[in-house]
This record gives sequence, C-alpha cells and structure tokens, in this order.
Amino acid sequence: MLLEIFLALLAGLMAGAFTGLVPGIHINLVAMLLFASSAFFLQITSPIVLAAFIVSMAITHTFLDFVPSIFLGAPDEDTALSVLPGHRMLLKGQGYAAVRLTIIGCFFGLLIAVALASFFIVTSPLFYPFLVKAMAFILIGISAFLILGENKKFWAFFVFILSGILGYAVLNFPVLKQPLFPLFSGLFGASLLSASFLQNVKIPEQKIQNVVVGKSEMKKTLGLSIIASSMVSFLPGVGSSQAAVIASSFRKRMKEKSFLVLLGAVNSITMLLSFVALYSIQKPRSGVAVFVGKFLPAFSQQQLWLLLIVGLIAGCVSVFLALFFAKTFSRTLMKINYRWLCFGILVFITAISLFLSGPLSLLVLVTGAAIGMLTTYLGIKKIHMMGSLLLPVILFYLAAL
Amino acid sequence: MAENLLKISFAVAILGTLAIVFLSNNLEPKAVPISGINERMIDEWVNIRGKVIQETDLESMKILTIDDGTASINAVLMGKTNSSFRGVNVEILGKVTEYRNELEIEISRIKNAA
Repeated sequence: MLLEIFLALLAGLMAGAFTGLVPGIHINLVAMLLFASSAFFLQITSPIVLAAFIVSMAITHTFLDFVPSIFLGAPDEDTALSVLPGHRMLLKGQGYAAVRLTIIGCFFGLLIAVALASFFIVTSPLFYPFLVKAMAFILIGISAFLILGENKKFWAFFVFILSGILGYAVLNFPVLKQPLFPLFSGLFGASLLSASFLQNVKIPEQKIQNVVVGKSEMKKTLGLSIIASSMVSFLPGVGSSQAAVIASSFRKRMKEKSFLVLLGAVNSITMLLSFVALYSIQKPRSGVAVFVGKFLPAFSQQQLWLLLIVGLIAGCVSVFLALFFAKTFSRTLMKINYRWLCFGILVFITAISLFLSGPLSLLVLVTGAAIGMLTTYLGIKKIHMMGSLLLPVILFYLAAL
Repeated sequence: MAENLLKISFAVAILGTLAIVFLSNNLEPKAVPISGINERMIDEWVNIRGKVIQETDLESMKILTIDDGTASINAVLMGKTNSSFRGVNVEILGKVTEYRNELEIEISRIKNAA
C-alpha cells in the first residue's frame, strides 16, 4: 500500500507540474478523466491511492501555476492577481524572485494549514453556518473598502460593476464551456500582453537572486492569509481569489513582495482546507475535492491525515520543481524577442480559448482585455476587476438568505 | 495614442459586455433527454423538458422532480417562491450538479412548456 501511495504521489507531481505549467489545462479536467477511467484503475489499486494522486496533483499545481502567470502573463482564476506585481518584477529582471516569493507563500501556507487542520476539523462545523449568512455582507464591505481606497473612486466603481456584469453574464452563459479561462485570460493576461506588445516592452536580463521579506512582514502576511483563507475554504462559490482580495483589504498598503507571498499562501491553504472541509462539514469545496469525495464516500479522519501528509510531501518536492522551472523560464526568456513572445502567447491563449470554450469565447477574451486595458489607461488597480467573481458570488449569497 | 487607446478600450468594454449579456440571455443549449444526463456533464448547461411529478418546499429553495418519460431528475430552484409547479409541463435551463452522489439540476430559468 505504501509503495502504491508513493507512486501515486510521484504521478501526481508530474500531472500537477503539467497542469500548472500549461495554461488552460485544469486539475479538475485530469481528476474528471481519472474518475471516468476509475473502473480500470480500481481493478489494480484502491480508492485511497487515486485520492492521493489527486491531492498530490492539486498541491503541485498550486505551486507551479504561478510560473506561467508571472513569466508569460497567462493566469487562471487563482493566480490572476499575481500577473501585475509579477510582471513589474519581471521588468526589473526579478521574475525568478517573484516566483520564489509565491513559492515561499505556498510552502508556509501549506505548513500552517496542516498544523491547523485539527483546529479546523473541530471549529469549522461551528462557524460554517455563521459564515454562510455573513459572506455576502463581508464581500460587499470588502469591495466597498477597496473602491473607496482608490483615488479615482468613480472609475474604480465603474470597473468593478462592469467586470461584475461581465462575470455574471459569462458564468451564466449556457453555451460557453469552461468560461473562467477566457474571462481571466482576457481581464488579467491578454490586456497586459497586448499593452506589452503595443509598447514594445523589453525584458531586461533576468537575475537568479532572492528577494527577502522581513520576518515581521512575513508573519503579518501569513496571518492574514490563514484568516482570509479559512473564511472562504468552507463555503461554496468562493476560493483563493476572494481570499486574496479579503486579505489585501485588511492592510492599506501592502508591499508588492508581501502580496506575492500572500497569493501563494492563500492558494495552497484554500486547496488543502478544501480536503479538510470534505471531512469536517462533508461538503466538497473545490473541484478536486468533489472527486476525492467520490473515491472515498466514507471519508475518515485517518484517510484525511494520510492525504494531508501526501499533500505536505508533494508541497516540499514542488518547491524544488517550481524553482527549477522558474530558473529555466528566466534563462529562456532572455533569448527570445519579448514582443513576439507576447504575440505568440496571445495567439496561444486565443487558440486554447477556442478549443476549450468555443468561438464565443473570443468575444469574452476581447471584452476582458478591453476592461483590463481600461484599468491601465485610467491608472486604477486591477484588483477592481475581481468584481467579475465577487459580484456573482455576492448575488448568490444574497439570493440564499 | 494613450488617449485613443483609452477611448477604444472603453467602447469595446461597454459594447462587448452588452453583447455578452444579450447573447447569454438568448442562446440556449439543445434540449436533452433526462436519461442522457450523466456525470461527465457536471457543470454543463442543459435544457430539459418534462412534467413536475413531485415538489418539495424547503427553507430557501424548492426541489422539483422532473420526469420526461425517459427518466426523472431533481431540479433545485433557489430562493423562496409561492407558485406551484406540481403537474405542470415545464422547460428548464440549468447546470448539472451533484448532491449526495445524485445528479441534479440547478435551475437558472424555468418556464411553462405548454
């Protein structure tokens, strides 16, 4: 059994590296394919081994998917907010350091989540009903706080509402499959890549160096990450993106580097806590947790701890994997004409959108890119475009009251 | 140049959003028989037609059991509503979801099929 778990862990590392590095390939897709072929796999192994594969893949993915977001400007919904600070550091020759900061966040987030798992197992059934009722108001308050903190308040509100309407329409677009890819690639990726292409941005020599975040800054950032992540991990419809917005709203001026640590931490904490939620409140709170629940319908605490240990080991290995790929991207990027690389990635994002979501996704991609460019030319923060997820979620929770 | 790009972005953002809102309200997937709904369709939108054979009112939702002659499935209508659908032939647009290992449909739009 141990050998099988170990092999599942290795296979999960490879699958997570693949889904993390290739934009548009989601872990839910791999988990669904595994479930579809489970009749075959369950003849040669047990459900806990398949669940271990899923956990290993999911945790590896959370570490690796910052690499294409920062180097290529091709994010998914979990890493969208890393594009701009990551790109700024890339333009200073610190792309590697930017990825390293997200990895530090991911790793410490994972450690904290495992350390506090027992606490959440006991307390989450107690605070879950309160959070369900309060979430709409928490998100409204945080959105208002972010908008009021902007110098150009009207335009911040305008972008929040416009992105919200776009997000709501796209998420309720019956003939559009996988709507989040074109939505987030447009809002956060294509807008930045188009601007870089138009302005003929040159990428300086990338230094393989470390950037340090002070101890007290790190403690505050990780503290905020765990508070915000625990608020969203047990609820439906909210995830690491909302956790990042919640956490960043607690501090008026968060440094770029701390923000990258925070994004990494909320990403790994929410992923790990989604498995804790499956046990403690018997509700899957991530796509992959749905499939773990299917493989382990009588999910026990012993199985949960085994999966948490698998996740922890996968996380430790992923640190080295992510650093390796960040170094490789740093070295390769310098050899390529960045303007044409941006153009190539735009073509790639368009092709993946067409493949995953069909021809109507191009309209979503272009509209999202236009809103993203609007924020650039208006000089307001891109975080207001998170209205695309926040507004539909606020409406969902208000309707459930 | 920056001012022109600002104007273009503004126009495309507004017109694009309006077009997507319009299309999302007017384009529907083809109707499928309930027996054709399977686990691979989780999170996909479907359009079904059938008779409401059972109706259960809960605190903040209504659960309708729809039968189209090929199979039956539960459909969840979120929010409070006083209208009853029992015995009515309905057309439902919604997303396939799963609850306690049973497939169900989260209703987005429901209308009288007659």
